[in-house]
Amino acid sequence: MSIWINDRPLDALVSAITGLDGYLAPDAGAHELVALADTAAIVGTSVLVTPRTITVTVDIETSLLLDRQTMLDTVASHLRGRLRLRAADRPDREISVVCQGTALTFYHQPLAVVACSLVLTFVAPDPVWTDIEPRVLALSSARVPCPLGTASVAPSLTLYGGTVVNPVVIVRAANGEEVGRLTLTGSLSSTGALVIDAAAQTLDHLVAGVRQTGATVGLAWLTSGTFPLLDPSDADAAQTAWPTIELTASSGTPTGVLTYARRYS
Amino acid sequence: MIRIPPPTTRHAGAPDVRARALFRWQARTLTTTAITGQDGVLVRAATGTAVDSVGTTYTAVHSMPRWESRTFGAAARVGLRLGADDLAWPVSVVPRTMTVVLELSEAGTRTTAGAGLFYLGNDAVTGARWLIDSTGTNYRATIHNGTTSASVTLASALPTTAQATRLTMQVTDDGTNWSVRLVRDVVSGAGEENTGWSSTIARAATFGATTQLRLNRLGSAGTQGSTWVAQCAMVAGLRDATDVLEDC
Repeated sequence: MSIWINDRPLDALVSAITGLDGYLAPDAGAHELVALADTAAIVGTSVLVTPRTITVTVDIETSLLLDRQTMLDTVASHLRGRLRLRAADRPDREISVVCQGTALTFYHQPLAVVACSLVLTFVAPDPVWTDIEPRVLALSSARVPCPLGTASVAPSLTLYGGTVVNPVVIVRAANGEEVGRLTLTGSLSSTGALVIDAAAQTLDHLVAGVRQTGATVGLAWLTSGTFPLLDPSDADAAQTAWPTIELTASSGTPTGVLTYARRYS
Repeated sequence: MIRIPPPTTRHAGAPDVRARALFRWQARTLTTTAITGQDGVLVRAATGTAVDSVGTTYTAVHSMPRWESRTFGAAARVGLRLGADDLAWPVSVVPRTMTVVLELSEAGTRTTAGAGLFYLGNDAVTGARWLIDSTGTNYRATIHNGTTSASVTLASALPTTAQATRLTMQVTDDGTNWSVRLVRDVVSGAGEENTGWSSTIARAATFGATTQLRLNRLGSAGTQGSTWVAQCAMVAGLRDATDVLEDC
């Protein structure tokens, strides 16, 4: 089994990968949807999650002590900062981690043998795996199906449309039932765009690529509803029927683009 | 817990410690901010179209990125469609031995004389600068020290439109002179072609103030290309494309 750190195969950095723990287990941590008490206002869709811990055990086996240290240095140089892990059995998915610690163990062998074992402990603050390649879907007044994995997704949307007044984003379950609506108030110019990041729960208003501030700032557009959330419970995966997103407005024809990566627990 | 049986092949050697990227941007992050931290600026003074993951064309307004899904073999990838678009990052690098890798899909740059693919230098296209552009039929890499230049041009008029391609520009800097070569790899296509090394020119100590790394144009007023870019990386040292792209 190969493991990649960022896009570097770990087995090219060490002698062998001998153990892998925590990456395959379904994400069993408690997930709780948290909404603010004032339901008349814009409420977020934040989720409490339990981080995932992944441990990777590798063998370092060289003929020289100097080489062993070089190999350890090489591994260490690839463990800094935020990392992306992926495994050979699902090479199209990755998980964002930080390396929390390493533990070096020497084998009970003659000193002439310079092999040792290294346990790398990675922590994924967000325990789900995501598609490496995101999806880009054009939005319009039609219901656009959004294929999902096994975990919920807070997507990003960019809304366009010259002379569009008061755009609305509607999320429906696969059966057509409305499960979410974000109502915005304002007029979009022909060079204007609203960038909605449902994960960060922010809204930026750009005109000719320039982020607006003051009275035309993006957050001033928020009127009611919730940031869009795509949830597998609103899908019928067996029938490949997915939640949909559509746009409407008081006047004008809103268009846009939806971007997200499927997530898997 | 999964226990993995010992592999039949064990790596006995000790790989070298390598520097991390000086610059790395990936379109699949859906932002013009590089993962090495530089904030990119995209400008397009008009609407532009792109194709989404199910083949539907959408229109992005002024200066909004055109994320476009393309399928190579059976794999869909997201890149940034560039045409009448300027995409630039401020970078702070000094000339040294470096490797630049671009992953792209050809959409017209190669057949437009002078159209830019990659540019490292100031907006006025003066002083020291490194670049990849087109002769009108073939991709070409150029190093310029502000006074003299050296170029290498790929022999084949490839890639064809929509082929996934990796371009690797390697520049050696021995402390006195520069030399450049360009490697083109048409993934699942014609494979790899190498220009060989250029003649040498005297090195320059800096790229000058306000150095930008640009895609799709040479400086701020050059001829724009037409391409789809998945990622761009710049690292110190002479490295091959796979090596660079594996190293974040």
